[in-house]
This record gives sequence, C-alpha cells and structure tokens, in this order.
Amino acid sequence: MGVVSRYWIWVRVIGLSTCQSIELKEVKAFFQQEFPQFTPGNDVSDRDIQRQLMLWLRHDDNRRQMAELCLRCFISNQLRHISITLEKNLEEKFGKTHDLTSNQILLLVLDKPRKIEEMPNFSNASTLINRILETFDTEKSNLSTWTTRIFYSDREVKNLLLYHGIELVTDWMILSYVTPVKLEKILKNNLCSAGEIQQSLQLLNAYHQIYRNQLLQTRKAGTKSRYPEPTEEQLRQIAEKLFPNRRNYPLDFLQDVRNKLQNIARFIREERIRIRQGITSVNPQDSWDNIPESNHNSEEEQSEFSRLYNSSFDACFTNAVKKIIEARITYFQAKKTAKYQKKLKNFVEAMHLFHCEGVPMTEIAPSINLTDQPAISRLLELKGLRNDIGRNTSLCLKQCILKLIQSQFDDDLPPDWELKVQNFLDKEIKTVIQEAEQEARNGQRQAMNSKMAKAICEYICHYLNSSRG
Amino acid sequence: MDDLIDNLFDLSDNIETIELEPEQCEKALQISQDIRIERKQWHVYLQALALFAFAEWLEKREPSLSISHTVHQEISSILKPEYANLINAVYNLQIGEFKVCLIPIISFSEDGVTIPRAVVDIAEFNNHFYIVIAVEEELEIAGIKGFISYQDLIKYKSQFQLDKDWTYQLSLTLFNHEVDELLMYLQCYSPGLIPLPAIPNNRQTILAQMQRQLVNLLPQLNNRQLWEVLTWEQGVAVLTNHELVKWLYDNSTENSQISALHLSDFITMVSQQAVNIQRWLDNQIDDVMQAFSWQMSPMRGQLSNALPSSIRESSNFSQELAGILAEIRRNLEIPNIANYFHQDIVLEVSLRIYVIVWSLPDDEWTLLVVLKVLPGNQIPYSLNLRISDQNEILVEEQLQPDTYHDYIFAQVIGNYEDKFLVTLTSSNGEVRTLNPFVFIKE
Repeated sequence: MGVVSRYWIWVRVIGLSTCQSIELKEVKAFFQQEFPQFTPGNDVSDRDIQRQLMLWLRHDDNRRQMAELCLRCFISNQLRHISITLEKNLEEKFGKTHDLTSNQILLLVLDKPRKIEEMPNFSNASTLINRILETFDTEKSNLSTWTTRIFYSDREVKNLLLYHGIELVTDWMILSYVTPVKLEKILKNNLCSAGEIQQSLQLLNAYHQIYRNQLLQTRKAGTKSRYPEPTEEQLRQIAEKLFPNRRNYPLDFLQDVRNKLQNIARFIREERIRIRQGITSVNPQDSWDNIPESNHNSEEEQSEFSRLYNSSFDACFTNAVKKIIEARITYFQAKKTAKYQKKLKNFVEAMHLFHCEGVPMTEIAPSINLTDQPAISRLLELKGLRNDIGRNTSLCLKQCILKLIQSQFDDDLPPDWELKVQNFLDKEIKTVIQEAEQEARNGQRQAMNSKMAKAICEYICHYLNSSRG
Repeated sequence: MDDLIDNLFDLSDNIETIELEPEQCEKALQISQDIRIERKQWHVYLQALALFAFAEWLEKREPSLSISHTVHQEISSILKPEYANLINAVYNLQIGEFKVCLIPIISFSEDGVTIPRAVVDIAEFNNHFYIVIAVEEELEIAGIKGFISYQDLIKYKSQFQLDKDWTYQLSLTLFNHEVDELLMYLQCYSPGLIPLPAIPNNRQTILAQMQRQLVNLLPQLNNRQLWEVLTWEQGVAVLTNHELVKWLYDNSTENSQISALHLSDFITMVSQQAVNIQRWLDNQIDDVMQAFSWQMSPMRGQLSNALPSSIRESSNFSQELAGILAEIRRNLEIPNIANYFHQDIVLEVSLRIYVIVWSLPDDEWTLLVVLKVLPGNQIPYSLNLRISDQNEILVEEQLQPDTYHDYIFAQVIGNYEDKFLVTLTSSNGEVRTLNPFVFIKE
C-alpha cells in the first residue's frame, strides 16, 4: 500500500550530482484515466495496479509506453526510499556514516537523462532499473520488494558499499563458506539436538554439492552474480539428495528446504556477530619492537657520522621516491587497457594537484571527473605509497650505513647490529611518513612543505615535463 | 528490507583493494575445473584467486618482490592439485628467501579465520608468514586482511580452537593489519629472524610403522576426508609423504575402490630404502645391496676351476640358474648376462631368489625375478610372487605342487621413473617383501 503519485513522479539525476523529482504530466493523466478509483493521498493496492500495468506492458500496444513509464517512475521512487533508509539504518547500526550518503547511492542507480525534457526509456535508463523491470514477475513478488531485492544483488551497489567499508553478507554466501565441522560446533553451542545437527549437516552437504559447484559452472558461463538465491531447480536437486525416495517435490516442500537453509545461516550469522563483539585485540607486533636502540659513540665520530648519514638519507630518499612513483606508472602502463590508461592520467594529475598545488582531495575529485573523495583516495593510495617510499629508503640507507660502520669502526660489532640498524632506520622513516600524513590531513588549500610532499612534487613535475617534451 | 540490513557488516579496517583482471578469474576457474574431486573445486578456485591477488599486490607495491612471472609459469606446482585438495591454503610460496602461506576467505568483514592444522603443526608446511586474503570474486577484487609470523602464530597457539577436521579457528585480531609492514619484512629483513622447525628425519620410519594401520584405514576413505578416517598422527605420516598423497589423489576418483594390496606395496615402496639397479648393471656392490643380503655372482662359463671353494659353490647356483634360464629362454629373450644376484630366504620352506637385470634400448631396463624351492624341500601348497610398480600390481605368479617346475618367475620392464616392489606370500599368509628396486642415473 502506498501513495499513488509514485506512479508518475520520476526521480532522476540531473547534471553530475543532483537528484531531482519531477511530475510527468502525461503519465499522471494516463494513470488517473485508467485507475480512476485511486486518487492521490489514498492508499492503493499496488499489487492490482502493478499486475495491470505489467499486462499492458507485455500485451497492449496502445498502453505499453505509458504503462512502462508508470512502472519506471515507481521503481525510481522505491530506489530513493531504499537509499534514504539505507543511509539512516547504517548510521543507526554502526553509529557512523562511512562517508556514504543516499545521494551517492542514487547517483549510481537512478536514470541519468542527457536532456532536461527527456522521458525515461530503455536507452537512457539505468541498467539497474532496466533489469528490475525485465525480471519482475507479478505472480512472485510486488514491485517494491523486487526492487529492493535486485538493488541489493547489484554488483555496482555492492561495490560502492564495499568501498565505503560495508559488506553485504547474504545467507547463501555464509552457507557456501562454512565447513561442516564449524556448523556442527555452532549448532551444538545453540543447544540443537543430535538429530537436528545430523539433518542440518546433511542439508549443508547437499547444498555445497549442488549450489557451490553450480556457482563455479555459472562463473564459467560468464555470469557475475554473487551467491544468488538458489533457484527452484537447485532446491529440487538438494531435496533429491536428501530425500531420494520421494516421488515429487512440490513448491512448498522446496520452500521448506529453503527455509531450513536460511535457519542454518541465521545461526552462523549470529555466531559471526558474537565473534565480532566478543574479541579483544592483542598487539602481534610486540616481538618486533623489543629491540634496544644502538649506543652512541663519541661526539666527534657522531658528527662526522651524522653528516655522512644525512647526505645518504637524502640521496636514498630521493631515489626511493623516483623508484616508487616510476613503478606505479609502469604498473598502470603495463596493463595496456583503456581503463588503466585513464587511471594513469588521473593518477599523475591528482598527484600533481595534491602535492604541488596543495589542492585538498575533496576538490580534486570533480576536476578529474571522479565522483567523490574516497575514489581519489583509492586512486592515489597515499598510505601505501608513503610506506613503499619509506621502505625503499630504509633498504638503501641500510646498505650505506653498514658500509659506513664497517669503514669507521674496527671493533667487533655485536651480533645483532644489523637488526639494530634496521630498527633505528624504521623509526627515522616513520618520522618522515608521519610528517607527510599530518600535513595531508590538514584539508586546507595550502602549499605542502613536508619532505615527502616536496620530493614527490619534484618528481611528478619532472615526469610531466619529460612526457610532454 | 529489514532482513537485508541484517546482512550488512562494516569492515573494521580500511582495506587496500586489489583489482583482479578478468583473465585471472577465468584462469582460476579453469584451474579449479581441473581438480578431479568435484567438491574440492570450490576451495581450489578461491586458493587460485588469492594467489593471483597476492601476486598482483606485490607487482604493484614492490615490483622487486614480484612473483607474477613465477605464478604464471608454475601455477600447477604452486597449487599442487593432490595437496590443494587436502590442505586449504596456498603454502610454501617463495618470496625472495621467505616462505609465505596464503589463506583465502570469502568475506571482507569476516573476523575469524580457519587455518589448516597442517600449515601450523607440520614442519614441511610451516611458513615464515601466514597471510589472510579476502576474495570478493564477483566484484573481482581482493584485499589482504592481515598477516602473522610463524613465531607469533606459535605464541598464540593456545588461543586457537582445534577442530576435528584438522583445522584451527582463530580470531583475525591476532593478525597484524598493517599489511605494509609485511612488505617491509619481506624486503628488508632476513628469514633467519623467524626460525622454522627442522623437518624430522624419521618420517619414513614412522610411515613404515603405520603401514598396517594405513592399509587397513585408507581403503575405507570412499570419498570421505582424511580426518574422518585417520588419527592426526596417521594424517601427518600420510601428508608428509608426497608420493603417497599423490597416489591417494590418483586413486580416489568417484567410483574406484582403493586396492589394499597395492596400497600396502606402495607404502613399502615409499617408506623403504631402495636398491639402485643402475649399480647392479655396472656390477658395483654397495652397502645398500649388502644390507639387504644380496650377493652377486658371475654366470657359469666364465669361471675357472682354480677359484676358491666359496665361488665354486656359487657356481653350482650358477649352473642351476643357467638351466632355469635355458627353459625360460624358450618364451623370453634374455641376453647373455655377466652376473646375477641371489639370496636365500625361508618362507614356509627354504627358497632361493635370483634377480637378473639388464638394460634395454630407449632408456628402459628389465628385472627378472626367479623364485626357486631349494633342493630337499617339498614344493609348498601355494606360493605367490607379486610385482607392483607405483601405479598397480603388474604380475602375480603362483607356484603349486601339481606343476612340473620347482620355480616360478616374473619379468617387468621399466624406465627411469619406475620403482618396483617384489612381494612373496606363502600359503599360510606369511609375507616377505624385498627391498624396492629403482633405476637412478648417478
């Protein structure tokens, strides 16, 4: 039951980032003419309306186009509803937004007409909406439930969620991964009887045999659906494995098999949540941090040493910056696909904007046609980049220092001196990385002054000049 | 709708995502389809994806550690199908001087991980680092969830839960999530910092001791998993013998039954020291040969009467053998032989075993075994001579009292890879196995 205007109000994306609802007058007139009993503000039986609209869409040449528009409007409203609820629920559930707004979701799933006056149709519509309409069956579901279901099974949606740190874990995925022994343990903890456990294990075994293997088959055929709902045929095959002596397997029997599987999944899911809540973290790095620092020698030696050390540091650092950025560029280039060529171009441009001009991430996104800041973060992966530079600096420095030490100290060196040197260097590098991180977190538009940012900027400028020249 | 919200989990850490190429996903599928045991294909598919993801990550982050080329060239020896099927992890992956173990999971938000006990508790499968890789195969992305060094793994072992399917359940909080540090260890440190246990040198002895139990238990496998049939100690004995694992894989198709008789022969072959036939061809006498009580004697006709009595005695054997060979030659081509080998045993009655070897063209060689009842003994009710190679029982001959002869013989032909085992069984079931024969070019 819902508001009838959803059948003629179209929610769409205008420009790069605006969602807009507009009333389609012709569609409204058509709807009111065909369904005079339903007036705005009244509760309506969506099921009847949708059944009629689908009938026209499939079989009535005269009403086909208008019926399709009504359905498309309805789906677009439902998608908006889903996105808003999702944003709200995420906040309630996890206490933070994950930088994900309903607007971002809508930008992904709604129609994006090229002209303001364009009507929704198959060619300008989002592939998600097309898919919802194509697969909708009025006998099996109503359009709002169906829209929700297809929305959550959509690859792009899942991708967006995952990039914002949220993962959709379905029953079918959980069941695919769990091992019989793990399930047995979970069921025992939930005080299930021996008989129940035995049955559940048989069911899981049949599910693995049928569902998992067929999933590999569908992957082979190129289908990219992630742990989809088991089909009726699959449920029948599972039922056949469990009850080979039955003569037939009516629908409600299969539904029962499905429910049983979902019940098992529920137990596993609860266990999963319990584990998430119940664990305390231990620090596994202890063992690496307990190495004492090296002793300092006399002052004179130390100053000569520091002079040599500092010059080695600069040389190694500049070299590492060059090596790592070059390696990234080579990595993108080696892929040879258009997608990666575009990535390469964006990468160099964003690196330049960020490190040379001090443009904050949020402002970089629109200037190179990326939707949001997380997309830029993923492109640059600065954390990894800095660590890679640090690590390579450290490796180069270690060679230099070992040489220095060997040439300057004749005494026997302690057996773990290499490790001590490494440990000392790790701390030095950490300081350089932290400086760059703090500066980047600033978020204001300003020139970057950290050692790291300057070195990166210098190399990127060099690269841009040489690739232009 | 509310259901679906329950399905959403948030990730505790920001994970650097690794994009998998469509070709890598296809290749992983193809590899999994080559696994003969259907219910294991799924695991191998995930293992292959984890491997590709890790290789991709190294390629991008530290090209000097890259393994892409190796993975491309040697994928089948990295994901050995016979093991991929028993140990659900990619282990002993060589990165520079380090060995790493990749453990695939299918969800980014998972907090627990299942690790095969083998990679924790068996020296052969211990690695310097254990790396958990989440694979979102539909989205064609993966991410490294965390890693732990061998020494930390052992340090926290008391916190793991051991399950009866030979796996440990542990929490991912035990892992280091700063995966960039993994790159640092791999690139800047030496593996000597993480000493791994030495491989015990009594694996073959233990396998030999367990032979009878295993011959009893393994044929009961019938598509079940090893842990459902064996104790962990028996499992270790099996898992640490590559040849036996391979044999089990080759013999565990959906419909075939494991032959206990051949399994028994096979375990002997892989757990006993073998005699290298190549030395026999060159008429060399070595310790192994003597340890197995073989004596070498020249064939008759090349002897002079002036020789000491012990050799004259052996010349009687030689005469006897020459007679037998003359009979066998009616059906079988045997070249002129310089030497033969023999030993006497008692199995119900006193018996003499003659072994003659000669080489054939195309790098092949042949082994002829003659079993003769010593004079003064009754021909036993039944005496069985069996020769197996790694794949099957090749010949079985039986000596019975009603036959005209007091000897039986069997001949097999092999090449460099082959190993043969000769087994004698008496009518009362007593068994005598000779040392395995191999041919190794030295």
